[in-house]
Amino acid sequence: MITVNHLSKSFRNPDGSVITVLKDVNCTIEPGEVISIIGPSGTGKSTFLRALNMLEPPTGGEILFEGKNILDKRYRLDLMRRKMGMVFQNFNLFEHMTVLDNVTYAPVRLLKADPAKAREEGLELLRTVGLVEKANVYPSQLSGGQKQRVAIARALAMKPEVILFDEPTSALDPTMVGEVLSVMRQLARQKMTMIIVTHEMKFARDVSTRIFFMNEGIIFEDGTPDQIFNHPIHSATRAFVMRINKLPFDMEDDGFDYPGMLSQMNQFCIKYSIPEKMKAVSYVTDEMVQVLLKNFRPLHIVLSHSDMTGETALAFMIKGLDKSPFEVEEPDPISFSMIQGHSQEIIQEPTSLGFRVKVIL
Amino acid sequence: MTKLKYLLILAALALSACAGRQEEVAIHGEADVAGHRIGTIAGSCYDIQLSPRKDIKLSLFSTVSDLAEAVKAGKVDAILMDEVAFSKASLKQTGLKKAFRQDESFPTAFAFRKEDSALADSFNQFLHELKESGTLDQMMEYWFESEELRPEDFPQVEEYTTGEPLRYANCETIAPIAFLAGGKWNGFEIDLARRFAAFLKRPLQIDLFEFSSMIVGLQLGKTDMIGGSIFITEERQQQVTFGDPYYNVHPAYFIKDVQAARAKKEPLHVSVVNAVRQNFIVENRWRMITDGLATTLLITFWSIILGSLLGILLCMMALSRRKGLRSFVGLYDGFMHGIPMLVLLLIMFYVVLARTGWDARTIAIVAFALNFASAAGGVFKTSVESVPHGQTEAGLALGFTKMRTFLNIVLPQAVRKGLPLYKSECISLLKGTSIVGYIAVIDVTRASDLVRSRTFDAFMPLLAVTIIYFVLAWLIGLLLNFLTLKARR
Repeated sequence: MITVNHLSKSFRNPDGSVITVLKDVNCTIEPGEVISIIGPSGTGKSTFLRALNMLEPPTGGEILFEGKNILDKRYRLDLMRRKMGMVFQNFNLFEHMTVLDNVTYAPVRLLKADPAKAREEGLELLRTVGLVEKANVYPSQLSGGQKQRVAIARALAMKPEVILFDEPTSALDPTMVGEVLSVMRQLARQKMTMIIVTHEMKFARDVSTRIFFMNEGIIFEDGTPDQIFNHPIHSATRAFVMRINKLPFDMEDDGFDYPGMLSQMNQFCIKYSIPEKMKAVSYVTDEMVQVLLKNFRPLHIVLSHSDMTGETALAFMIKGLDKSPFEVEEPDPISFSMIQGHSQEIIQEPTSLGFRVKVIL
Repeated sequence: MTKLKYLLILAALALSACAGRQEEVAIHGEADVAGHRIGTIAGSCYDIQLSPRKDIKLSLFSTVSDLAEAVKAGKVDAILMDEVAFSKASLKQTGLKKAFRQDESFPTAFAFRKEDSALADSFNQFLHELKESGTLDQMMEYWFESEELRPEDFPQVEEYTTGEPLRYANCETIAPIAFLAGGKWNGFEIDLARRFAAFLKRPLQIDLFEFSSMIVGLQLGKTDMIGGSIFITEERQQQVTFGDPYYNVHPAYFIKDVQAARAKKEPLHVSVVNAVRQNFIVENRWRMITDGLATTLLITFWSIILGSLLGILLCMMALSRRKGLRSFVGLYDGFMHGIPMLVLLLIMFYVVLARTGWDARTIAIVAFALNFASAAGGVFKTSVESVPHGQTEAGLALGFTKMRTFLNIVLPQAVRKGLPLYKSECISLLKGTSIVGYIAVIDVTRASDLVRSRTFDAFMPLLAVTIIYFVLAWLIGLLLNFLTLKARR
């Protein structure tokens, strides 16, 4: 259905430098597939998705839709886009129309659907996303999750052959992610062809027929959810699926903004929905930096959290040291026992750069 | 807020009209002038004569009626003016009296373009015949010596309606030289000009210019003949050709007639009724206001239409990818922002469009439209930009073409957001048109000036104009709301 060959995209900065977002993307997508595109931020996932319907025209390569190259200047993009729905991160509902009008506007205007019939179908679609009672309100009165469900209904109203989802849950309050994902699951069961850029790993694993792991502007690894999540070929894929979120700091000397670091760590905990670990993170960091490792500088500190396993860890790396700091210097027993009290495990290991003390919280 | 401001201004005007000195100013001869506050016309011979004097405090005004009001309100002690500027009838009406007249006198004449000496020659021939037949003396006696000037007694002169009009411009709006009464120009000079037009068998077109811009207007061909008690001076003779003088004018000082003012006191309700009658009913003076209103509406309407169309163009240029177009809009906006509207209007009238022969109203429309385009273009651009880009993307992604996305999705939202701003720009334009009097267009503001110069009452005409602008602004708001509602369906 969609074939992508050697797709590339680069931007020219105002200062003249060139940033390449997509290097060389190749793939084929068949009808009925549900494809999740995952990968670190800034690796071109959204750019790739937006290139598929030419909202972000690529700078090289080709995209074949139903056998025709859509990069062709004479290609009727508007006709192609009617068959390729899109759901945006920020919903982009038409704010000046009611929910029902949002859903029926394009079919009536573009497909010349009979208004009464479009209305019936629109209400039916709203029923499937659970919002039929909101048909006559304006989008401003809806919550984020409700808006996104309307946006999905709007895309469905054009009876598309494929729907692109551009991080559909990223702008949502965590409590609302579920309702949107459930609608998407329902679509997947109905064999709707879907291409989804997402950070929801569990969802991607459960729903997708295939997963693209994108990294550094290419599709790094392309495989079934089982392959990508359980037996990834590339180490970069493994690192990504296991421990997605990292917050690194380099503590060179006493001029370091210590309270700033603590505050960023707290924000990190809130961002990844582990507020209950905030206290432990602060305790452990305090004891390690101020007491146990106070004579070891520079210190490289990484707070990490894995969405997959739910594991949160604080790693303290002393560069250039080849044995445990606790052998160099007798640790304060009270401090040490406090850390033990807040952690599941303390791993001490030498690495190529130095010695690492890793506290699993 | 605006309402309150208007009320305060009106209150201030009313107070200043009531105030004034009760003692009669003691000026009986040239020796008494020193130490007083004297008013006269800016740019006149009197201005030149008085401005070097250190022993008086000189105030300059632009019309004789302003002068009369100033002395009446006690803002100046006396005014120096042509003796003939006030007839017996108008002295009685204004409540002024002559303090004394100077001995020297100045010949006064109509002026013509240098290149147009043929017209000057026919005027001289006409004037000669008028003097010979004694008609000129009769005219002077009627206009200057009558106890009261009533429209029904005005001399009737044959008027031609076909042929090339003789364009005559005047700067006076006060009896007996030239004034509007019953919707028609009259007065000694108008009478003279009308008789001259009849002599030429041509229709007469009368325009009202500012004194200071009359000679420039004549040189630029905005008019063929100018009057308004212009003294023949050597300096002026180098710029224009004067016809033969029709009389010599003595300068005279006028002061407030305190006794007459005292005798005139009457109860409030009577004076209000009288003021309304005087300002609007007598001589059908309301017609001046309604004619002015029509002009104001005409200029506002066309400026909004043309300015908005041009504004759409500017908005498209500003949003274009071409840098050249964008910087042009930047320059245009900068220019329109940086230049006062009045200056733009004068530049258009006297410089840029001076030789097009367009009438002043058309030039006013052009100037206001050019200025409004910048404001409207800015409003359009801000409105379009205020619609998030996501709306465009959503439209495109559904399969609308770029054009339809803009028209069906972005524009309706932009209109909603931009309407309040657009409305206030339209209302600013309406109010801004009140300066067209400077280029000889009689709009509603100028019309109130004209009424004022006939009745010497500031309060009523200004009150009427205030109400008119207020109601118009309100109506424009309603109309725009209505149009937008309709466009949405």
